[in-house]
Amino acid sequence: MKMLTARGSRSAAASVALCLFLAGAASAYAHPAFGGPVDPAVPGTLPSGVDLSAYALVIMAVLAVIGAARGVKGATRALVVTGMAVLLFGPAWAKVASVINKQWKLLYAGVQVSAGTGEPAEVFASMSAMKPIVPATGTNAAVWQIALFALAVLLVGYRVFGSIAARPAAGGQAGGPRMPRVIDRLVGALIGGLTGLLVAHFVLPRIVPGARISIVDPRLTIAAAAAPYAPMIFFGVVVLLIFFGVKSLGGSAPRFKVYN
Amino acid sequence: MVPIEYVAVLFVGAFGVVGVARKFPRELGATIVYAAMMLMLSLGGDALGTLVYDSFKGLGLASQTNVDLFKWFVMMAIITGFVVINYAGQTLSFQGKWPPNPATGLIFDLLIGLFNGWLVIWTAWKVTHDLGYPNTAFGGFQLPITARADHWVQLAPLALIPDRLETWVLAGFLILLIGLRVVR
Repeated sequence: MKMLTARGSRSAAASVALCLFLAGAASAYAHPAFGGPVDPAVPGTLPSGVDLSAYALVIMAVLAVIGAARGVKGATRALVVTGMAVLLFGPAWAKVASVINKQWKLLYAGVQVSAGTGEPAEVFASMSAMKPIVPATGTNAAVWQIALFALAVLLVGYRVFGSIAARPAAGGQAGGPRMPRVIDRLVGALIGGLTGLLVAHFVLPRIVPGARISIVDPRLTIAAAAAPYAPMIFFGVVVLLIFFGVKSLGGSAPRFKVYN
Repeated sequence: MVPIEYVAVLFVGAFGVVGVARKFPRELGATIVYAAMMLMLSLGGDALGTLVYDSFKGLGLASQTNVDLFKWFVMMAIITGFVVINYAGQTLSFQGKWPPNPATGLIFDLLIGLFNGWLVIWTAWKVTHDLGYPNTAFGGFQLPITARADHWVQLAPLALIPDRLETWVLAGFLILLIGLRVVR
């Protein structure tokens, strides 16, 4: 069981790594180096406002596969953590940066005072004048945002290095955790896709400023290509969900005995 | 004034809450009835409108009466009738143990509720839209609608399905649901 669990963990980690690699490839294509101003005139550089929906779709697909592998429970936890991380490292970033900077200064001052390198008053005075390590605005802020966002999502949401045992593993064994059922995998894939959309919306515009991402806006490439098939895809998903929903109804309907 | 698309989304959200309360097996039973409603409106909607107009013409009232408003009343009465049938008295539902697990159950309950809400509310909205919003006669609703509403109303079930496939898709969906109910 442990082997199966470890294998599942490795495949999930590999998928996350692939996802990050693709995001990294997008960033490398967009920026000569991670961070710094982008010159739209440089050949090979994506101009601002470019349509990155295809990258978003790749991220969604990868996270949907992970969602299907882990089942609805793991996918829901990842979605909740991702949603919270988006809020925390997005709109509330200024406050988060301020808290991190204060904590860092406190820690640094504590070490300085403990090591006896100066008087507490002097140390605290120099700490107050110290430049914040985490910027609240600017290009470097985006790097910090992405890094902390990725850490939160991978460590807390996907538990990449965490509790492997919490995830379902060997199926059908008495007393052991069960593999996710098909219905759980389906819903897990849907939730994983949604998580991917959140990740793409958070990460890609911070790598390519002004990037446009949408899987429904018909002005963008992916949505335009999928538009003729959108109703079919939608109804297909509905029928599939209904089918597996009915299939997963436990027990059986009452049967009426017929007497001749 | 609240735009009509927000009202529609609010109503669909209310159906989602109802779905969570009633659970997937009951809501799927309601979906069968809504599929029948869609098929009826698809096959007989135009004929019904013509019948109403001819009746008014026969009575010599066509020129003096807001016929579209009367048609709108008839269509809304049909849709409301289906909704009442679904939620009052003994209702059609699927048998079995639900949910398979709390998280999946909750998501399915919500999704099927929202789906039913979309079937009902968007159909009613599309019918109203096609009739040129005759309900403005009552006040409390003012034209024009926003560009977004104009786009969103085209997401109604009967507008999404291509005309030539409408009967087949709706009848197929209805038969699939009845089949699943019978197999259960």
